[in-house]
Amino acid sequence: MSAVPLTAYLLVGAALFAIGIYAVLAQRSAVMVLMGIELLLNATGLNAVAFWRHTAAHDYSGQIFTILIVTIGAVEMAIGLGLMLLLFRRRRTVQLDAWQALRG
Amino acid sequence: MSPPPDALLLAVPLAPLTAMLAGIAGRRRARLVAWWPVAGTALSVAALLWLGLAQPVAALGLRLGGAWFDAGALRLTLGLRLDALSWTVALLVAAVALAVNVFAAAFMREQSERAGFHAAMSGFAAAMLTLVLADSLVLLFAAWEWVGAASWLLIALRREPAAPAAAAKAFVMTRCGDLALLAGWLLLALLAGSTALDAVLGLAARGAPVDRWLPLPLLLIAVGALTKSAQLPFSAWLPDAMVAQAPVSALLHSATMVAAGAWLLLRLFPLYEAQPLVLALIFAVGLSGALLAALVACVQRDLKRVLAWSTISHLGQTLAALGAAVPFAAVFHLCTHAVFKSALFLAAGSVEHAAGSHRLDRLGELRRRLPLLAGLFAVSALALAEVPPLAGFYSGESVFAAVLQNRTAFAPLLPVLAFVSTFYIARAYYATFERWPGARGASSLEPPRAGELLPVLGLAVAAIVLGAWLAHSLPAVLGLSEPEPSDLGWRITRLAAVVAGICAAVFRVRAVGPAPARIGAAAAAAVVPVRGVERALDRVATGVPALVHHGARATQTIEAALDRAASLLARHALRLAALAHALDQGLDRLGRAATARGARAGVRVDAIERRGFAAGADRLATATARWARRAQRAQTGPLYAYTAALFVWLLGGVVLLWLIGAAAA
Repeated sequence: MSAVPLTAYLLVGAALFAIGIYAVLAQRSAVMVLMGIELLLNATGLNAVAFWRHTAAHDYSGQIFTILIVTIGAVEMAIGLGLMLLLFRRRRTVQLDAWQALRG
Repeated sequence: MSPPPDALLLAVPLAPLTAMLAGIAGRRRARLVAWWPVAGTALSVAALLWLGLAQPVAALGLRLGGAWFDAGALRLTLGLRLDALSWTVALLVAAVALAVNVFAAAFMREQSERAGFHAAMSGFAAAMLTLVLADSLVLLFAAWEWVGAASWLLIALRREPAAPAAAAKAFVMTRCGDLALLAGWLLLALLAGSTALDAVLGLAARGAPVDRWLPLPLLLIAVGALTKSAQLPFSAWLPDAMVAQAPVSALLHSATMVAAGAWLLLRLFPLYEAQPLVLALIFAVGLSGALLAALVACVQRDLKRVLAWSTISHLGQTLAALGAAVPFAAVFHLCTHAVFKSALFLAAGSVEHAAGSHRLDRLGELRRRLPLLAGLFAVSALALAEVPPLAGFYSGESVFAAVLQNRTAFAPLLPVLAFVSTFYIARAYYATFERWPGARGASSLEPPRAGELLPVLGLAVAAIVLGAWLAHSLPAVLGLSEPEPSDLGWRITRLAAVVAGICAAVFRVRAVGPAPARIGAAAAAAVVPVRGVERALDRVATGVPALVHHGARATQTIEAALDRAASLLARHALRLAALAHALDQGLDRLGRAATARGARAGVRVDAIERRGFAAGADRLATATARWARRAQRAQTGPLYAYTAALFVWLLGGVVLLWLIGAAAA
């Protein structure tokens, strides 16, 4: 049993998640948005690990779920960066304001 | 210090594989590239001989390999097994491959694609040896597919317009059979729990719960084997595969690859022994295929196609021997057939090189200018025709004795088959090498090279000697039981059939040349499905005019009756006309009244619609458009707005779920 209480982990996780949401919503650069997504995923992973450690430390399904989250994050980053590259080739910029075709 | 037997066993398939890789790596060195396959197969032969001489072959029982991985209840294994049966067939395959590769070194000297060709031949030899030595169904199937791929490659390497289509046909047809084989061996492996041959062959002893399921996979495997061995009805690919070069036809499509089907059934024979129905099916397909293919071979106009159909026929005999539950006869016939058929194909290749064609009507009178080749072809042809004391005689006797012992009712068909086989091969020999009316002969003859004649000589000598030698030594080596020898009456009948066949062929070709005999035309039409359909359509076409004639006569009778009715009507026409007029006027008045009322009703409905529904719908539409334009302003364009909306939705959903959870608790 570690000395750091569960609440601390959850607070840090919540803070990371909030930073991630800010990055996703408020950043204009596509690279920064992807970083924000990564932050969101890892905050979730931190939550999972914290709950695993404090409630069911003998059961390895928490570890497996975290590994899954990391893996999926990696794959998603690959796809996201690929999309970003393709978009860059079109407009020569990664600023999201360049794509406003959905304007009604 | 002799090398360890494990290394020798591994060297057998690996030597040709290394030769293939070396051939690919050194493909620019034109001088060496033809000798890699020779070296590879020679090493295989040497390794096999060493293994066989170190201890008596009958006691061979070398296993190499083990479990690959476990997938649930199934254990996949990889391994090589050397026992008397696989040693015999592997030695046969390697020796024939060696002879054919020596031939190919001389034959392919001026061809441009020879580097790829020789590498593919080594690759094929490696695949075939792996197939024969495989101890695991997985490895056997992988080698089976590899052999099919090598066959495609070797046919497709020929720079001829017909080659790619023939290669694709061969590959696709055998691939379809391979699907059945895959299903069959997967079922067997699931039943046995492992892909190792020991476990699979042990299924025969398991008894009741497994026996119910065994016929299905064995039947599927038999279908795959029949496709690979080009038995009717899956034989369409083999005659077209003759577009490949002579060494390919000699190695793949006569001696080894098409024998892989028979090999598979031999390997799994302990399982087939207990399934009389599947054996009966194999026997039926084999014997009927043998007979029909022999008949078709009598009408072929191309030397290589005669030999192709002959291959189908002899493989049918091998399978018939297997279906008669005497595997010894099948192995014997497999060995001798490989030897004399490859000799015939190589000789045919030499003839093509010398005379420029292998169409029978363009050959003839070659004996005087190519005496050695003619002699070698004649010896191999006599071996095929089961003339004593050549190899085919002993193995043919063995097959006949097997059929006589276990399927006596069909035994009389075999002398007929012997007659037809002798007929086609004697016709082929005579049309190629002797004088017949209208024979133009070849105008310019290139003498065959020593490198081409030497392997044919070796194989022909083997065809002379092998029969007697194998008849003495093979039963002891293989440990399989020989069939009871047939009695003198049957032997005389078969010999008489052979002599009759030779005489019939010689007389016919001397009289009319190699024109196809009618005896085979019916079988050829039945076998080639397109022509069969043509004949059916023909019969329909002649039946239709008769039908039309009957129809015309019936129509005439009906016409006469209608005529009478028409005249009756004309007589009473005036009365009917007046009635019609009165009716018409009445209807007219009714119609005008109805129209007037309808028009008035229509005007009223139109007014209601205009004032009520139309105006209401207009107002609805304009209101919807106004609200839509207002909602459209929410689509601002930049991505963050949409992302923010998404998060708000998610948050709302989470809150909702929490509320529902709190309410439910």
